[in-house]
Amino acid sequence: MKNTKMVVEEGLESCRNVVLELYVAGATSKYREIIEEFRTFLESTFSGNYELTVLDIIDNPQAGEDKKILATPTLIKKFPAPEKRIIGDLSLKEYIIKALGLENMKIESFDQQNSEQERKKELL
Amino acid sequence: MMRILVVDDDDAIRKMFHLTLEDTDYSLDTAESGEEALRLVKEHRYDLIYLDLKMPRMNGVETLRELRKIVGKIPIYIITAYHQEFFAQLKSAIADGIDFELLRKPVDHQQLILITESILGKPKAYR
Repeated sequence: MKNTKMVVEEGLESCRNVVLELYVAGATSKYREIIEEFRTFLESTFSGNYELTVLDIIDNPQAGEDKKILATPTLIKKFPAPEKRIIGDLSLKEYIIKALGLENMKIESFDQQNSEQERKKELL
Repeated sequence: MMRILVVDDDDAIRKMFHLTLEDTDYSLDTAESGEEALRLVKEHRYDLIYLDLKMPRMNGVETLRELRKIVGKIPIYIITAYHQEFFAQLKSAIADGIDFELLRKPVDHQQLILITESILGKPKAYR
């Protein structure tokens, strides 16, 4: 039964191109604005094909302990592998995406890949 | 040169911060109490403050509230273990709109350098 659940969760996770977790300290108005801006950026960058879960360590210290979060805010790239983490200023959106190795997941990259494939098909 | 203040009543922790950050490009001051920290921030301009949560007399949250009145929006990191019992006072600070971040305790030398550089410079990805 346990294995079945794991498979279902993995299946759900793989439906998204990018899976992120953000650990913050307190849902202050500052964070609400930053998270909203970050979501808007992810939406346009990955064309909605992403998942961002926000966890507040003040409300849920165990989540921070379980993940051994060194400091807030920490953004974890869970998928695609390998898992990578980054601490600090979320306003550096483009820089963060690059640092987490997600640049080739951007929607324009997919568009470029699709056009490449179409060009190759035409040549054939 | 960017300047950091560490506020902790534990001499070993203050020494650990000194040892870890002495060979970096940051200048470091330490205070052993909230009262001393308040005196220092009136004399110097800091770019980052690490503040212990559990201190005698003026605790971390009381110090945080007073520091915020003086230092404006610079990052203040509360040094703490992630336990619900420590966070009740922090919740009331949040409710009052007082801004802070968290630094997990314990932290080793390499982690502390990574965190400090990520806060004061460009964030660095790690596994």
